[in-house]
Amino acid sequence: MTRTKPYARTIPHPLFERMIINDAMTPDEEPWQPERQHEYGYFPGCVDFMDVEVKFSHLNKGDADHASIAAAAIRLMNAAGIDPLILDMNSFKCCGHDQLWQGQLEVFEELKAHNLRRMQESGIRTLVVTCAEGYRTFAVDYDLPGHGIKVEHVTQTLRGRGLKFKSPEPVRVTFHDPCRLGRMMGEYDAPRELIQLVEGAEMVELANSREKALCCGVSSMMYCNDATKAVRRKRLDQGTDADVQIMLGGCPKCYMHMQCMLNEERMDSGEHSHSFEMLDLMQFLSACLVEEAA
Amino acid sequence: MAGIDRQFMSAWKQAATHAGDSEAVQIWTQDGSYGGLDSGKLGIWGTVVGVDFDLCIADGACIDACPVDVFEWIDSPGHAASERKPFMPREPDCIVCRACEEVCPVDAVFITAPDDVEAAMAGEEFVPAPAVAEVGEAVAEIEAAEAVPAAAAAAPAWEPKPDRWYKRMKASLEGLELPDTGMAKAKPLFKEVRKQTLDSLSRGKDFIALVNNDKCIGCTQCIYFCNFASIDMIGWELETRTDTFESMKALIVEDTCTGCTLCVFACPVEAITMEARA
Repeated sequence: MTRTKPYARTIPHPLFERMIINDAMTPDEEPWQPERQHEYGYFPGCVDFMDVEVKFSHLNKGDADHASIAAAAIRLMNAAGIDPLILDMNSFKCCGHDQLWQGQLEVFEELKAHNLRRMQESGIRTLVVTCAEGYRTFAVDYDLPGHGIKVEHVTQTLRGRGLKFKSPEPVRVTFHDPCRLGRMMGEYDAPRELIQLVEGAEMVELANSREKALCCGVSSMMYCNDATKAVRRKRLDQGTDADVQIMLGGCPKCYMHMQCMLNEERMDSGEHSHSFEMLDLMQFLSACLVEEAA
Repeated sequence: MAGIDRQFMSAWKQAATHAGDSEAVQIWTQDGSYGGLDSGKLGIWGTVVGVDFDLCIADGACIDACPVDVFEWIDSPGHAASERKPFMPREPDCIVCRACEEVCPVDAVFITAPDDVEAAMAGEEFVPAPAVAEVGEAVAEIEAAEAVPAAAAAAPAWEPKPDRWYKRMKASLEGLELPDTGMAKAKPLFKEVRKQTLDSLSRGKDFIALVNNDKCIGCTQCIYFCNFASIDMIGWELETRTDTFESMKALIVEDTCTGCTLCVFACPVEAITMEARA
């Protein structure tokens, strides 16, 4: 009885949540100084903290690859002439979005105090995040702008920077508005502007989009159940109705949960009602980036 | 397949011991000589948990698979196959779930149930206790199932998702290295949290994992963790306030569950609990 099982080397989820709390409650008073001054800082957040060693990309048969979102974002920022300071987990901690929305306020306050101090120590002027949840948390709950640091979602940073994109083949794409980016922060245009820049990509809107967008079904990792699954399925059905080849997202949690559903459906052979790919916008743009000859 | 010598306890000689956490770990070699960890010839370590250190390539699969944290790395400088090995200081903790045996890529692990050790040392023929609990006629069925080609009996088949763009994206990132993520600091924390959780669970052959259907979200994660293909997904008609649709939920296959608790760790919604077998 032998079986190839390359996906098992991960830290399971309930333990991971406890680890974050454990980490948050362990004070870290060491002063920190980046090697040199950066204008921009990039906070990969869960995208790297969770994913590189932890869980979902390994579990979803390896194709819900969050680490590649961070890699793609760094590549695109470099192409746009930005050299961000990577705010990794050596000096920072989880942003605490899930803890806040789950009501674990004391944990959140610890995380916030730590990260705020580190942000000030880092000396950055603008914070870039790839995660819609992180964007909201830093901009609103941390009130970084009030501390003199501008917070931008990566789509806002990249637009209007003269990047050139060309799709290798004509493709129909759509954008699934994450709640934290759209309905909470009011940013609907930046991702769409970026998609418009891609030559050969046709952008279609889903039946519900912008202010009326449907939820991916899992708000702040609070719970996933039959009802949230129904919501998620409805959202994916809209992608099928719009006859798209790729559904793009701007939040790793939408990405992860859509992938999860797509994956589950594939356990049945035969006809699949959702025959498109789910990608993060950063991943799609990285695949289409036209590199300028240096 | 050239793997560990399964008769090592009778055919090989006890050469030395190495101090474990509570009991000493036996070292077996073919000629009874042992020259230390840096000698390049290590033999088989362990009795219940036997690992052929000369075959081991330090892949780490057994360390990750073990639900009771039997193994830890030990350095074997200068060894041809790999420079560290999965030492088993907590061998008495082994629950004989055989997860490590299953995952070893070079077949260097052989588990003998503690009850069989005496027979094995005497070189007697013994039927290795099945990794699974004997549930009535189930044993016969398992034997029949094992006769089926391994590939067919093993993991459920997933239809591939479309991945043209995924591959393009991966190609575009080729050669780009992610900076250090700082995850290393999480490893000791993880070990600690995992140990606490393990201590709170009932495990072993007398227990079985049960899925709470109301909680299961059909995410399929437990399937990846199960080393014995003991988990199946079955279709359910789900009804919510606004919708009715077909979806999947996990089902533990009782006959092959070893009570190793790996699926409990995998479940993101704590839908799996360990219960005593009836």
